[in-house]
Amino acid sequence: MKRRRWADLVRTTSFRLARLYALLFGSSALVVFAVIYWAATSAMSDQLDAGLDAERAALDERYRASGIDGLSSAVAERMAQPAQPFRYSLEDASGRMLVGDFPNTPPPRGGRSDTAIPIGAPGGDVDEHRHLYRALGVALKDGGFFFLAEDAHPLEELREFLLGAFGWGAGATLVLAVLGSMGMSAGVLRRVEAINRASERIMAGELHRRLPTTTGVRSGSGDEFDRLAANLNVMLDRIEVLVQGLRQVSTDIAHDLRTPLGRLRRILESARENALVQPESAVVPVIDQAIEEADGLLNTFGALSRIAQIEAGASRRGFGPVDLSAVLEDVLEVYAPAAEEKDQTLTRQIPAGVAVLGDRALLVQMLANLVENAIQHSSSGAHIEVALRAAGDREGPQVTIGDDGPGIPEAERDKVFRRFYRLDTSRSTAGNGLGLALVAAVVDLHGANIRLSDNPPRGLCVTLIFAEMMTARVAAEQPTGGAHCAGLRGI
Amino acid sequence: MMKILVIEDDSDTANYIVKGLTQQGHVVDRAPDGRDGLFLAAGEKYDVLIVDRMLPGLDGLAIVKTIRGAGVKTPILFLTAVDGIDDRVEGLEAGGDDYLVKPFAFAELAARVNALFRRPALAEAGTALCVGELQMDLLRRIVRRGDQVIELQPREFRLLEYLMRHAGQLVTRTMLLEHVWDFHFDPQTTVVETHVSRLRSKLDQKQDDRSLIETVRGAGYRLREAPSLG
Repeated sequence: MKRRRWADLVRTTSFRLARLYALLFGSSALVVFAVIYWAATSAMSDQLDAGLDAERAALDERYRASGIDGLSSAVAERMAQPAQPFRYSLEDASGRMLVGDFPNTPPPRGGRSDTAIPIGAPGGDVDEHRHLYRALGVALKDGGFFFLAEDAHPLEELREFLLGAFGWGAGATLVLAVLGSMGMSAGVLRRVEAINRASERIMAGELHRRLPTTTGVRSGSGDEFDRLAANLNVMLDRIEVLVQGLRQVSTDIAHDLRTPLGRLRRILESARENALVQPESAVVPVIDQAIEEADGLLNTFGALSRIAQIEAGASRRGFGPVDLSAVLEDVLEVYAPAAEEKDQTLTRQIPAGVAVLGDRALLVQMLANLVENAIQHSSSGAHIEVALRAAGDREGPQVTIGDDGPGIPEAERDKVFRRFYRLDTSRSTAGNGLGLALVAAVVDLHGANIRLSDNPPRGLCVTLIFAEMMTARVAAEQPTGGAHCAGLRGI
Repeated sequence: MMKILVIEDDSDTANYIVKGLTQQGHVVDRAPDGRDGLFLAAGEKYDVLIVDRMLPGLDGLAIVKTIRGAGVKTPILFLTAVDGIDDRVEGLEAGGDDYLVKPFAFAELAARVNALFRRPALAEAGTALCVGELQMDLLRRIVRRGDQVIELQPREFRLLEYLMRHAGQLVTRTMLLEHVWDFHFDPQTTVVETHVSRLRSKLDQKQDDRSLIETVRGAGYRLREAPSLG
């Protein structure tokens, strides 16, 4: 388990990122170090050279004034001074050492030398203190050779110091990088694991559970994980609503279909008993009754599958410009006699040529359902007003259907669009409780909006607003009746 | 009497259709799959084809497209189990003439098959329709019963026109909804009934003992071909 967690840590994206960063920072630190090393050491050797040059210039003056003997005594004087940084060696033309403190090693020849050479400490054992010296050999005019060296120990120390500092720095950086990236990865891993655990529970069926965030479930102010989790939580909310809807629909279907199936069964059962008791009794009316029940059930199933298909958006490819004015006039014309039979007045305000993009058949059915609802649910003598408004600045066309019927209580207004939902007051009227669910599905398919509101002084007002982008144009107003005989097939 | 080919793989449905249509006096052939169906439809002359949309092998849409491609003009009725919103349009575009969703009442199928059968006499009638005393001038949009002019609303005119074109035949409520109102769904309200009864009240005269438009219980309406002259 422990092992696996290590492997997990190393595999995380943040660990890989940290590794990459460590590499990048390491390389740039190396470059910086190289620059510093070069600058510091060259500055120091320049300083050494300047010291050497000054000493040489001073001794050169003595040599020019008083020859090799003067130089020799000057060197001897200087060597006698304590803690002076220079070493000397002076040979005459014959190669004899006049003065100098390179006791065992002969000084290197070769003119001016800018390279550091190891030589013994002044007066001491050669092997005891090996110091680095910066040396300068000068061939004298009279054939002698003068050798001058300056202790280069501080340069050596600087180099050692710089290398050591870099070594420690690099080590510390590496350790910090590894530890830091592990810490970071562990943090990320913990968040991801928490999300994974939560999603596993959700997958196991706990749909009410939400993904954890550091700043509370709904806050969007957190880091990217919080934002991701918050978004997923919103998605889960939607899914939960949908699943609940599905469960409710299944329950409703079971309930609403059981009733007519039960009726059908009773009809058949009593017919069977009747037939046994009185074989000569008429069966046809009973069979008709049973067929009627079965047809009702089939209609309900048909409506359900239609709603499901519309919700799946299957029909959007049938979209085209639809003359909403003509469709509305048609629908009203169809329902006018039905309204008249109930002594209802049906008034209209429909400007010509208002069009939307949509599926004509579905729009017809939707508007028919709405008008039908208004007629069915208002009492006789009611007044129903249908109005169409052309597209405005920000909105597409708008249809309003107002009645002075019983209306719908505000609390119920969202629910009436559910499948099988029926107001208690309308249980007695005909219908399968799917009309408004279909309306809602068609409205959604068309990206439109539907609103139920009061229609003062009493009644319901249904407002249907199409999106601006769904506004369409129709080439010419089509005649709504008469000559339009496309429906006459197969004659 | 018509010669009808039924292309349907489900034997229950096929038997139901064949039995019913045979009882009505038609000659019915049956093909259990698309290949046989295509073979029969191409080889023999039928008055009406009834084609299931979902068939093993070759599906209904493909069969109809092939048949139409071969220049066969026989009226075709599609049957389908799926009440697909676009299926109707697809079927009609493929060359079908009518469309019926399973399960259906046999009366509905029979009425649609009858309506599909092209009767030459009527097709040639041109600008006027005449059924018994009823005369319809399609150009001037005037309807007469005997000498009397009958004023009709545009929709009532279309309703009567459809009934007259199918005079003597059963016309179902769904057929009227589809062809007169272009409604492809079943309204809850008795829309058709109210419109038919209005039309009736305009057509019928006091001396009629029976209405010109008969109600066929549980099925639809029929315009009487030879109304009694009182």
